[in-house]
Amino acid sequence: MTLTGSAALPFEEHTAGSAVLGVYRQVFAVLAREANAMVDDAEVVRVDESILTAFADAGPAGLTVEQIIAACGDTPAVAVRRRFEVLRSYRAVTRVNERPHEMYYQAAFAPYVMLLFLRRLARTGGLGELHRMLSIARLAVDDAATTRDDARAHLREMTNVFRLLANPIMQLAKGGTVESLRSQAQPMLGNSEMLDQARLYHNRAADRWPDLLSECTELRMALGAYRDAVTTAARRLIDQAGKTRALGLLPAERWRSFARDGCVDELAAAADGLLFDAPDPYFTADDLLDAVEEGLHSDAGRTPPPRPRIDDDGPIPDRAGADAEAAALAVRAERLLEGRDQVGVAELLAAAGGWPAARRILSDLTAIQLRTELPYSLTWEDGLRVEATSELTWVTDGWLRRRGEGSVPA
Amino acid sequence: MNERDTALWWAKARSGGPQQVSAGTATPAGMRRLIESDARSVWFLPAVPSAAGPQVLAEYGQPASTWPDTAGTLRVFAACLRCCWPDPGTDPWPGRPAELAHVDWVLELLHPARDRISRQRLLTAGLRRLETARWVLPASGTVRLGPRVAMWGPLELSTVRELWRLIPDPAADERREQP
Repeated sequence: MTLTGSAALPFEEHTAGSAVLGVYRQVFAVLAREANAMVDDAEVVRVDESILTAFADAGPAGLTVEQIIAACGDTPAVAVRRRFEVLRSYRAVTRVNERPHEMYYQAAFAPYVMLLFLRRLARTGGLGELHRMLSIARLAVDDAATTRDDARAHLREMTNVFRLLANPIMQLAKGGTVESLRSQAQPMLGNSEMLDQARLYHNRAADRWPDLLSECTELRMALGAYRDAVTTAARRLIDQAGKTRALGLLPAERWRSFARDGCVDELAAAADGLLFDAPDPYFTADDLLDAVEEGLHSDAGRTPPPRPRIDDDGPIPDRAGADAEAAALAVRAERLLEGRDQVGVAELLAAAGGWPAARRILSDLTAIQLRTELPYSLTWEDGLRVEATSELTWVTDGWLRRRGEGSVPA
Repeated sequence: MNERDTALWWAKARSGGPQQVSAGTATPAGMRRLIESDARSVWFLPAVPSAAGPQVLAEYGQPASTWPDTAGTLRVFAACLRCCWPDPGTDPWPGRPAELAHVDWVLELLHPARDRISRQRLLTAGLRRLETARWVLPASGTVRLGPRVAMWGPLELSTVRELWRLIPDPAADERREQP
C-alpha cells in the first residue's frame, strides 16, 4: 500500500499514512493499557496473550466476548473485558462483519507477532535480532531485486542501530558506576563477530553502490563509535578488576553490599564444610554467686547527670583548693620569717646555700607576694649587693615583711 | 556401639553440647545418661573427671571462653535457677518449668538499675546464650533447667544452694503474705 513517486496527491499520501498508522496501532495494542497509555504490568500482557490465543484456537468463525471470557478461564472476567475493549479500540480485534449487532470478533495477527518479538527481545537483549537484521541486509545487498533506495534505507537503519547501541555504553563507560556498567553493558560487549559482519555488509554495499558513499561513511563512523565505546567500557572494567583481582574480580560496591543483600543460604554457604568446635563457655558456681551478689548489692539509684563546671554561685570547689595552697604558703612564709617581722631576701638566699634551693625560695616568695590575702609582702628596693666570689653574684635588695592588720599591701 | 559411634557421640557433644536422644539408644562409653522427666528421651552428657574438664584452665592460668555480658547472662541463669528449682534440698534436675514473667520478676531484683526494655533484651539474649550450651531449655513462654545442671558436684551444689537462698523470690513472698 506504499506510494512511490513525488506525484502522489496529498489525499493519497494521507491514505497511505493512515494505513501505516493502522498497522502501527494494531502492533502496539498489546502494549496499551487504555487508549494512549502503555502497560506497566506484565499480567496485562499475559491477558492479551490468552485472548489472542483464544482467537487462534477459534478458527475462522471468530468469537463472541462471552466465549473469549470462557476461554480465558483463569483470568477474572472484568480484566478480560477491559483488555478486550482496549484491543478493540486499537483495532487489533475487529468485528467479523461490519454491521450493527455483530456478535463475532476476529483478531489481527500483528499484535501477536509483536508479543513474540518483544518477548524474544527481552530475552536476548536485541543482539540476536541485530544479527538477523544484519544478515538480511547483507542478503538484500546481493539480491538483484533490491533497489538503490532500499539499500539506502537499510544503511540508514543500521547506522541508527549502531549509534543507539554505542551511546548508552559510552555513557556508562564514562559516567556510570562500575556496578551498573557491569550489569548492563556486559550483554552488549564482546561482539567482534557482529562488527565483522557489519563491516562485510558495509564493504559489499559500498562496492555495489558507489554513489551511496555518504551513507556508507555514516555507517562506518557509527561502527567506529560502537567499537570505541566497547573498548572504553572494557578498559574501565579491566581497570576496576585489576584493583580487586585478589577478591575474585568483584567490584568494591559488591563487597560492601553483599552482606546486606545476600539471602541466608548465600551467606551460610561461606561456612559450608566447617565444623564449629568452640568450647562451651565455662563458669564456676562461685562466678555465679559473685555475679548475683554484685547484682543484689549494686546501687539502684541513677548516677547524677554531669553538672556544669561554671556555677553561678562562684567557684566553691576552687576556693577549697586555693585555701590549701594558701595555707601551705603561709606555713612556708612563717618558716622563712622564723618569728621575725621582716627578713632580707639576700639573707634567705644565702642561707639556702646553692642556687637550686635558692631558686625555690625565690619562687615561694613570689607566690606569697602574689597572694594578697596572706599577711605577708615582698618589697624590692634600689640597693644591689654584688659578690663576685659567691654563687649568687648579685642580689637585689628585697625584704619579706609580715604585714600588720592595718597596713596597706605594697 | 562400636568405637566409631562413640567417637561420633563425643564429637557431637563437644560441638553441640549435651545430646537428646530417644530412650532406647545405647549410652556411649564415658557418657552419663540423664533421663528426661517424661522418660521418653535421655540426654547424653560427657562425664569427664574434674582434672580433665574446663576447671584445669584456671590451674594453668588460661582464660576460659566466656559469653558476651557474662555477668548479665549469669544473672539470667541465677534467676532461672531460682524459679525452676522449687526446693533446694533436692537435685536441680529436672526441676519444673517456670513462667518467663516470673523469671523476669526475679531478674529485676538482680538487675535493679535496668529498665524494662533493656531487661527484656538481656533476658532474651541470655536465655539464647544459655540454651546453646543447654544450661536452660526455653519453651514458648516458659523455661526450665537444662541437663547441664545435673553435672554439678556436691561442692558446687552447696554453693548453688547458698545462691538459691540468697535470691529473694517476690512470687513466694507474695504467696506467703496473701493467706
